[in-house]
Parts: sequence; C-alpha cells; structure tokens
Amino acid sequence: MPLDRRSLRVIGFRAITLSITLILVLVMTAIIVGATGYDRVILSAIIREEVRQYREQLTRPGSELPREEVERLVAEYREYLIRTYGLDKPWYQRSLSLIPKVIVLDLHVSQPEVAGVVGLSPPVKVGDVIAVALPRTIVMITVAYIISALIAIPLGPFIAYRRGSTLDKGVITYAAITNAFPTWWIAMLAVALAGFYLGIAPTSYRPIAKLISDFTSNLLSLDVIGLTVTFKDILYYSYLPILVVTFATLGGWLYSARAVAIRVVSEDYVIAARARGLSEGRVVRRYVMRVIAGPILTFVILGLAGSIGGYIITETVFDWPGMGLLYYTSIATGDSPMVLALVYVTTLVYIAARFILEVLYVILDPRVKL
Amino acid sequence: MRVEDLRVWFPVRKGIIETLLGRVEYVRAVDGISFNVEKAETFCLVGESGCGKTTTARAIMMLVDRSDVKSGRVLFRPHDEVLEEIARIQPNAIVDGEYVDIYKTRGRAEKLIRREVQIIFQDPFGSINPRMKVYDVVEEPLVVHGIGTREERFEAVARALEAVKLTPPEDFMARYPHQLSGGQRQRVAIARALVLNPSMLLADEPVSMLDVSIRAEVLEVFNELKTKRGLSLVFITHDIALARYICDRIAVMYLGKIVEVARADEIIEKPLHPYTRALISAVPDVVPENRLKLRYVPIKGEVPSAIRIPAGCRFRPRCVAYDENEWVRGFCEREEPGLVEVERDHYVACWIPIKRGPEGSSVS
Amino acid sequence: MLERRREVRESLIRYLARSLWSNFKEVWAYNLGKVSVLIIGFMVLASIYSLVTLPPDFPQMWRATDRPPWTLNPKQGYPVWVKYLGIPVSETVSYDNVRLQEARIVVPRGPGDFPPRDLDRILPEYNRSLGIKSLVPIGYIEVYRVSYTLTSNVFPQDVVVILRAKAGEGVNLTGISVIPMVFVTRPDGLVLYTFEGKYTLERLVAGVEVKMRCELFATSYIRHYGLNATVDRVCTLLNRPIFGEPVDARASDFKPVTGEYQITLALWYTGADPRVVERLISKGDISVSTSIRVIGNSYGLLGTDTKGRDLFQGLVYGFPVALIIGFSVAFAIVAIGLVLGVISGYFGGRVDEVIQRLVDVIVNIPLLPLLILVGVAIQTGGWTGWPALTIIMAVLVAFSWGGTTIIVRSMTLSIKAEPYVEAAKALGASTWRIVFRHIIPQIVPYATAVLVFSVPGAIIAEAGLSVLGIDHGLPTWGRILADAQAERGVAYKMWWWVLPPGLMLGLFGFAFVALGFTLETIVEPRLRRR
Repeated sequence: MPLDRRSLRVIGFRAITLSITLILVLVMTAIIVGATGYDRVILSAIIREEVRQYREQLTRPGSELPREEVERLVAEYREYLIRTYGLDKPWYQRSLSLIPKVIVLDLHVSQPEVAGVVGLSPPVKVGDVIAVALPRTIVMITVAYIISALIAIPLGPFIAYRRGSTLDKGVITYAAITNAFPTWWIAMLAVALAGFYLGIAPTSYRPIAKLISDFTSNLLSLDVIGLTVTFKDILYYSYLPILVVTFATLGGWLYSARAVAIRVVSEDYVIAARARGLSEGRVVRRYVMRVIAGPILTFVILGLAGSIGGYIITETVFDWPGMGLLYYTSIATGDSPMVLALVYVTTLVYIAARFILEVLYVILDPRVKL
Repeated sequence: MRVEDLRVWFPVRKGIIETLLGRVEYVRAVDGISFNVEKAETFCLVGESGCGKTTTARAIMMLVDRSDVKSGRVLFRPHDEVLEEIARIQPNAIVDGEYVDIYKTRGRAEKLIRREVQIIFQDPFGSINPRMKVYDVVEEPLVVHGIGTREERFEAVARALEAVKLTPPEDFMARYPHQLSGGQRQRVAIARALVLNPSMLLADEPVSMLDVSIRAEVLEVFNELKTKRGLSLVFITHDIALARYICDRIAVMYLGKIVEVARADEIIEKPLHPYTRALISAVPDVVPENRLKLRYVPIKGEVPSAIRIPAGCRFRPRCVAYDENEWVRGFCEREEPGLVEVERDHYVACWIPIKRGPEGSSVS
Repeated sequence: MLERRREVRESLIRYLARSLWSNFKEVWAYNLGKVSVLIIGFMVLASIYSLVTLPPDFPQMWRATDRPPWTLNPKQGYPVWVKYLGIPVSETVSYDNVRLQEARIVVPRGPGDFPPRDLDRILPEYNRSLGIKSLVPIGYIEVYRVSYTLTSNVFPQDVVVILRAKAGEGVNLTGISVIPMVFVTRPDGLVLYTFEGKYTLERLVAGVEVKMRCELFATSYIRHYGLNATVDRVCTLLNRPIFGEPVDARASDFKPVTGEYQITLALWYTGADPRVVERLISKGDISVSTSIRVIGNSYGLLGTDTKGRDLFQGLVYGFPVALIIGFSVAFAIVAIGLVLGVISGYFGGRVDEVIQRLVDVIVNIPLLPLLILVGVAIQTGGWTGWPALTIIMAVLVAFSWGGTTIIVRSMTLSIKAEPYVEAAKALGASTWRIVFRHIIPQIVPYATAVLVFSVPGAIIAEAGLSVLGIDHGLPTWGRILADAQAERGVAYKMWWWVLPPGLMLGLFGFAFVALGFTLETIVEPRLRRR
C-alpha cells in the first residue's frame, strides 16, 4: 500500500519519539546504575574478565615469561583498565562511558551459571547468550498466542450473539479471573498440580534447551526417528507452559473480541446483512471476524512486545530457559553486565514492536492523526 | 457602551511546518464592527448563525484571547464609583474621562469591569455547573468579587431569585440544575447575572434553546428588567421578529460586519439592506393558512466561509439586488460599502441606498 | 431567614460525609459493588488485625529464620485443620510455664542409700529409663511433667524445652547452676533419657532452649530392641527413635507409637547448699520458668514453610502492606496525572506541548525491566525493607502517570469548552477558582475510578519483582511466593504455601477492579443500564 506524505510524516514523528524514548531509557539506566554504585560492580566484573583473558594470553604454552613478570604485567593492565573505565572517577563521568558498550552489547557474561542457562560456558558475550534465549521465549509465547487467537476470533461473535446467556457470563467471569490473578501464579499452580501432585508434566523445564538443539541437529541430519523422539519430548516439555499462557491470555482476548463483536453486530450494515437473509455464520465470517481480527492482531503484537517483559516471571516459574530465566539467574548470581544487557534488549524489542504497531496503525487506519 | 472598529480573527490551526513558515490563515469572525448602546437601551444584534454575533458578545465579555482581537476597542461607561476606582488604579484605561477601554484593563481593573458587564448564554443546560446547587451558582459572582458577608450574600441571592420570579427563593436554593426546567435554569442564569447589579447585560440567544411554550416567561423577565432596572441590554438573536418585540434598536450582522442599524420599527417596516429584507421575509407568517404557501425569500446560495471573504461587498454572491440592479455592480465588485447614515438614525452598508438614496432602494 | 440559610449551606464535613454515604449506597446497589466492598472491608479488617497482633519488628523477625519463634515451629508444617480433611498429622503443643509437680531436697539418708531412694520417689524415670546417666542428682530437685497424645501415625518433629530464670534484685547467683534432665515415657512403657546439661543461673536468665539428644539413649535403645544397627543409623532422624519403634533389626525404618507420652523435666540445682537454694526459691528470689514444646508436623491456620515460619502471620502481614503500597502508589499516580492533565488541558500552549511529549515517551517505556534494574541496583546498594520498597514504588509511579494524564487532559479540554466555565470566566472568576471549583470537581469522580483501578497494580508488580529474585526483605505476599519459588522442589508440594498468597493477590486485584467498574458505571451515566 503506498503511503502518502502525511502518513510518512506521522511515522517519522513516531520514530523520533521512540528513539528519544530509547535514548532516555539508556541515560536513565546509566544514572540508576551510576548513582547507586551498581556500575562499580558491573565495571569490576568487566575488568576481572579482561584481566583473566590477558593473563591466559600471557601464560599460554609457548610464552616463556617468568611468573613475576606476568604478575607485574597483569597488575599494570588492571591499573590501565581501572583508569580507562574510570573506576577512579566519580560516577557521572564513568557511567556514561558504559552506554556505548551496552548499545553494541560489548559485554561479557561474568557468571558461569548465567551462560549455563542456554547451555554455553564462559567466556561468552552477553549478545550470544541473549541470541539463544530470546527465540525460545518468543516461540513459546507465539504458539500460545496463535492458539488463543484461533479460539478468540471465531468465538467472539458467537458469544456476542448470545449476550446475557450463561456462556456469556461464564466468559466474563473467566476474563475477570485471569485478569485478577498474575499469570506466573497460575503457572505456579499448574507446575505444582500437574508436575508435583499428578506427575503428568515435568517439574523443571531446563532440559528443553538440550532438546531444542537436538531437534535442530536431527533436522539437519534428516534423522527422522530422532526427530520424532525429540519432537515428542519437546511437546512433553512445552505443553504446560503453552497451556498456561494460552489460558491466561484467552480470557482477556475473548472479552475484547466479544466487546468488538457486540459493537459490530449492532452496526447497521451487519443488521442489514442479516435482514437480507444471510445466515449468522456467513455474516460472522464476512463482516464481524474481519473487524475483530484487527484488535486481536494489535494484542498479538503488543503482547509479543510485552511478552519479553511480561512473561519473564512466568518463565522463571517454569524454569524455562528463555529470557525470564536469564533475568532470574543473572539477578540471583549478580551477573551485572547481563542484567544491564537484558534491560537494554527488552526495552529495544518493546520499542521496536511499538514502532511496528504504529506503522501498522497508520497503514491500516488512515484516520490516525499526530 | 461604544464598540469601535472591532476585529476578531481566529487563526486556523495548521501543521507545524505551515506555522513555522508563517502561512497563517484567519477566520474573520468579526471583521470591523462599530456600534453604541445607550444607557437603559435595548440593542439587538441580529443575524444568521456564523455571522459573528456570538463572537461579538464574547469579545465584549473579554472571553476571546486578546491576541485574537486584531483591531478596535470596546469603550464602556461603568457606574461612577467603578470609574473612579479604575481611574485610580489604571488611569491609562480611561478614555474621554468617562469611558473605560476594556482591553486595557488588567488584574483588578479587569475584575471591576467584569462586575459591570454580565452575560447570559444560549444554553441553559450547559451554562450552569451541574454539580452546584442553585444557591451556589447565584452566589458565585458575589464570592468571586468578595462582596458582602455570608448573610448579605444570602439576601442578595434571594432578591435576585425573586427578581427572576423563582419564588419563593428558598424553594429553589437547595436544588440542583437537573431538578429544574429549561426556563427555570435560564432564569437562574439571569439571576446569576443580576446579582452583581451590573450596568449592562448581554443576552446571547437566551431563549432560542427553550421550548416555545416557556420562552414567554423568560422574555417577560427581560421586559421587566428593562423597565424596572434601567440597565443597558445587548440582545443577540437570529430571530428578527423576537428582536422587534424586545429591542429599541436593531443591528443586522452578516459575515462579521454590521450591514444595517436602525430603530426596531423602522428597520422592520423599511429595511434598506437586501439581507435585512431577506431576513424579514423569512419570518413565518402569523396567519396559519399563509404558512403553507411557498414564499419568496430574496436570497440565494450559501454563507461563504469566514476564511475567504468575497472581495468587494461581502454579500454580493448572495445578493438578489445585485443581480437586479446592473448599474450598481461596479461599486459592489470594487469596494466594500461602509455604514452610511442614509436617513436619520438609519445606517446601512449597501451601495444601492447609498448611491440612490433610501427611497429608490426600498422601491426596487 | 438565617436559619434557612443554614439549611441551604451545610458544613463541608457533613457534605463530604453525606456524599460518601450516598456513593457507598450507590455502589452497594450493584452486585459487583457489594462483593468488592465486602472483600475490601475484609482486607481492611485483616490489616487492623495484623497491626494489632503482630509485633512492629515483624519484618526483622520474619527474616531471622534461625531464631525463635520460627525454630520452635515444625518445618513444612501442615495447617492444623487438615486433620478434619482426614490427613493424618501430629499436633504441635506448647506447654507454657509448666506447673511444678514436685520439689524437694534429695540427699542420701545413710551410707547405703545411693542412689537415694527419695530420688526414686520423686523421679522414678531416673532409674527406669534407657540411657547413660553420668550424674546422680543429689540436692534440690524440681520435677515437671506434661503429657502429649499422639493420635495418628505421624512422627512429631521434635521436643524442645525452654528454660528462663528470673532472679530477684540483689540476689547473688554466683555458683548456682541448674542441670536439666529430660525423660520421655512412651505409651509402650519405655522411658528414654533424652537430655542432660548444665547451665549457670546467669546463663538461664538469658533463656535457654534445649533439644533432645539421641546419643544418651541410643546404645541402650539398640540393646533393648536387640538391633543390629549402629548409633548413627538409629540417630539419623532423632524424632523417629523417640516417637517410634524400629520396624526391623537393622532399624531401616521406624513406625510411630501412638498413645499418651509423658515428658518429664527434672531441674537439679547444684553449686550451693540445697537448703539455701530451697529458701531462695520459696522466697521467690530465684524462679525458673519452664516451657515444653512438642513440635508436631502441623501448626497454625496456614502451616509453616521450610524454615518453620508461620505462613498465616506472613499472609496477614501482607494485608496492610498491600493496602498501603497499593493506595499510595495509586494516589500518587492519579495525583500527578490529575495535576499535569489539568495543567496541560487548561493552559495549553508550550506547557501542554512539553507535557504531551513527555507522556509520549513515558507510555513507551517498558516498566518491568526498569523496575528490575532499580531493584537490583538498590539491592546491591544494601537497601532493604521499607526504604527499598519506597524506591521501587517511586520508580513505578514515575513511569505510570502517562495514561491518567492523557485521560484527564482530554476531560479538561472538554470541560473547558463547557459554557459554565465560560460563564465563570465572564463573571470574573480567577483561574484558580475555575480550576478548583468548576473543572476538578467534574474530574474527581473519574479520577476516583482510575485510582481504584490502579490500586492492585503496585502490589502485583512488587510480587512479580520478588519472584524474579529482588528481595526487599519485607514479608509480602510476593515475597512468600518468591521463597516458595526459590525452593520449588519442596515448596510446590506444599499447597498451603503456594495457594493462599496468590489467592490474596487475585482477590485484591479482583476487588479493586470490580469496585472500579462499579464506580465507572456510576459516574458514567451513559453506561448505566435502564
């Protein structure tokens, strides 16, 4: 669809706003880590890692440096790094220097447990760890969202036509309940019930990391039997998280789909279509579902954007080796560079999704104004 | 009160870029009008919607942004003690020793002037805060201006409610607006305006939103105010028949300008401007059987936008007389006619009576 | 006339009370409103209960898991009422300030009277018990006895004796020591010697908690049952040999012995002439209060966690915290939104532009990562308790006022265009008066609904952060769930740990959303049905 100049201007304006937001978040991050002395922890971790690498380089078999000489060089290098990173300076001079490193994710994971979440071991860069974890999160939530959308879109009008019925009331109650209870708590209950009490689901989901990589290698080697086995295992490990996220999102989506459908079915053109003798199913397919798909699409994209942030707690509960567990582990082990990188990536993904949504709005709805 | 060459232009909001380039267009809501209202006189502003009569009222009430007032001044003669007070605190606002230029007043002086001029709005449902009781509504002006003790204010509110025939006043004081009829609300609005004992009252279409059946009660209140209180009244209406009933003098407005001013009877019986004539002939006939007859209203087309006002005479595109009088077309196209006194106390802004004399015009 | 004036103008307090009451009645008229009011009323009562019953230093107490009262509770204890569901549990019974049963001076009456027969008279357990007794009590002896009934086949977890001495002013305690001895007489007649020790009175003044020791009776126990097992084998879990009998000769497991147990505590005062001790005690110059606690595997209304903490107390403490956090955050958000929205809408111009752009930025910031960062940062900085929570909440407020501001601004814009505002301007009302008298009163009902809606947000966010491992140290519902998450392997089997805090979170959220809906329905007449 061609975009006119005004739409482009609207999009450009959004892009500027969102870029400013991202920069602002970064600056705020720098202030938070700086003013609280947290950056000292982060920078010390960075220096430790670089010194370790330097020492490894010096003591590599083949280099014949005496011990004292190595120690001297290492100490010198450490001093140099402390000066470069400004650990000897006040925080406001120092923490801003951290921003460029965060932007390009030029930080190293400082704790082996954190790298272990994705099955790697240090030395490894934060970007590489996130690159493994992020897709796992997105996959789990996307599958759940697709299921939710597939249920909510056709069911919304169905409920709307039965306004006030027991089914309608049931849906409203269901939406109210899932809205009130945090998803991660529902996840806790699910793990407790299905995992610990009934034993029909795993209690820890860490093995999924290995299963996914097995699956990929089986796929590459075209090992059909292995593929089915790993696929079955993956299904076993993923059905509960997907079920829980679907359960938690479906209520709200059904409610919104119902609300939109109620508005649409009372529109003149829909009533007219019914009056012309079109069947309910036909009207729903031709007129109502199209309208509902829009808000649901918005939900999906915003949800995905938020999911990186919103489901990290749920993931933690499942011990699902995605972004959530990465957050949890880096907080627990004090892997400060990773925490910083995660905050940055989460914000970036969220803002990017917001932008995609804005562009979609402009394309889909020409009435959107500045 | 004297209004001199008042122009109120509102900028049309455009995008950021246009604003930066200084390409600003204006809605010329009021485009240079002058008139004066004598003491105890009722002066009517008549015109169709969008002609600028409400803007005129708002301008007089200092309710438009002062930056939108592009030219002119409003001179007002308040009570003597107010005049003295303003002369003391803001001497530069005094004109000719007896008038106050209201746009030069600031702060306390402005507040003093506001005490002297009150307005009644068209919509009795919107002009009263729905969350305030009648008593609080009518008392508010006194509180704002710090007049009287609580007891004195109570008396004043009761008197004002009595004056608008909301009796007994105590019955109405504790009510909320939604417990009143439209006519009663409008009378509450009048009471609110009267409680300050102003020297001038503006009424912006005060009965147009009321049912015909209750208009009379409100108009009765106005008539009584005129005769008993001796305050100047500026009455704004689109209904020229109503204007004749209530006004001493009538000014007809078209697209931001006054096109004709005269005594009420004079203007109805001997309209000189083609627009006035059109307004009069649009009034429904009192005789019921005549109403169904299709009557000829001598006007054509639609009101042009106040952003792009036609060159020359602004009424020309809609003027039937322009079509009929070939000789005058040159004037109409070239220049906008000013208000000229063609007869004693009868001013008109049309080239035909100006050039030919009033007799010639009314014949055509 | 003056009286009538008073009728018209009522006092502000009466006005507020009346409007509050009428609002309450309106809310009550809706089913949803009724439910929400009842839940919120319950939560307020629970808060008052918690403030009255829990000590002010409860948060510190909650964190000190290695200290009483938590050490005296069962670990992973069931709620007491589960026995009515048919789940077998052993009760936790506390015998506080056990009444003295017998006291006398025991000395040998002659050369052959050793151990003295008097001892057998007041403490028959001494000679009957299984166990290595290294001391023969000679002197002033007090005997305390309590009985405990084990009804179901579940082992109690432990027995603890708490001793605390009090001394009158100016009493010289030097030299006097107390040797407590503990015997357990079982339903099957077996008597186990489970404790001996020695404490000076000075030490006892501070309070002493004595725990049973297995080695004392283990060897005799093995001999008694003819076991082919080591002391270590028998003593792996102390409560088992005390409250049960071995199922086989290898003592591979124990099975509980049900019935009535008697726990006997003898306090033997040494280091001074027994007559002096007796006199001091009878004068009340020295007194030792004793409490005996049999720790079963159930405790309290909601059981205990793995560290023995009473989950009911933790849950109850959560109520005032949730209400305080929820209301203060919601209030701050709405206040900022109201002020900025009104300023933005009413004054317009450059101020409006600045506020609008700020809102644009604010609403696009993902809150959770930022909160995590702040949480981690303040945790690193060593902040805990209320200050830490306050900082987190401040950040939450700082990035949450955008939505309210947008709504209030658009409302202000539409109210500003109302003729009655114009009318107020025309009669000379000041900007302040217009804003406070004509604009804000129209917005307040909506703002109240928004406020009510935003109450649960803060506590849900706090709970999420806690589960993610950010520890502010206060016992909140989120904190309790976070502890459960940290010990998921054990905790997830303890429904009384995982279920109640989440239910409270949900109930809290539901109540305020329901109230918000009701308020919205009331203030928005267009939404009103019929």
